[in-house]
Amino acid sequence: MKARIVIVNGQVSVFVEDGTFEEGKSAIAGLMASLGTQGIQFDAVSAVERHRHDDENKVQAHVHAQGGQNG
Amino acid sequence: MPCNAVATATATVAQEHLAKLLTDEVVSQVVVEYLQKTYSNEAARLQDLYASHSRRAAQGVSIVMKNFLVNIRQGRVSVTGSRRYGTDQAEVDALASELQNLLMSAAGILFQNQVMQAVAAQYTVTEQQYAPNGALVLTVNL
Repeated sequence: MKARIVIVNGQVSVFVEDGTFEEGKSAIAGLMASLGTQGIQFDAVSAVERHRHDDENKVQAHVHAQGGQNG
Repeated sequence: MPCNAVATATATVAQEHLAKLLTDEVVSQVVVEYLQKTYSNEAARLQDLYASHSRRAAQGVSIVMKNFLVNIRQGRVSVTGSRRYGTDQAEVDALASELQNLLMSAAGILFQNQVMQAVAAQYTVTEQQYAPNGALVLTVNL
C-alpha cells in the first residue's frame, strides 16, 4: 500500500494513497506501532481521518505547496 | 504535489522532548560550527561548565565568543553579554534567539533521521526527498 510520510518539526504526517479507508487506517496504526517499538514516542497522535477536500466538486487543481504535509 | 490520500493521521513530539535528542556533543559541534561560520572574525571557544552554587562540573555546553558567554543545557540557551564591552541587551537576545532556533532546527533534523531509519527498518522506502520547508518526504510501501 503506497503512502507518503512527511516529517518536519517533530511532526510525522502519514498519507495513505491507495486502498480503502479501513485498510489505510490499519496500515497507519501498524506504522505508528512500529515506530513506537523502535523507541519513537509521540506526545500526541491524531485520529485517522478520511482525506477530504473542502470543495471537491469544483474543477480545480489541488496542489500542495510544501511537500504535501498540509493534506 | 497532487494529493490522493484515502486516509491520513499526524503524530507529534513536543519540543521539550525533541530537545532531548540534543546531546552535549551535538550541541557543541553545531553551535561552535555555526558561530565560527557566522561570526568568522571571532573565535568561539568551548569551556567547562560549572554548577553555579556547588562549582562542580555540570552537564551542558559553555562557549565564549567575543563579549558573549553562551550556556546551553538540555536544549535551552542562555546568553550573557559582558558589560565591560558595552554589549546591549538587544544583541544578547538576538544571539540567544538565533541559537535557540538553530538548535531546534538541529533537533528536527535528528528526529527526521531517527524516524527515517525506523521506517526503513520495517518498510520499503521507494523515494526520499526534501520539500522547500525542510520537510523530509518519504514514499513507502506500508
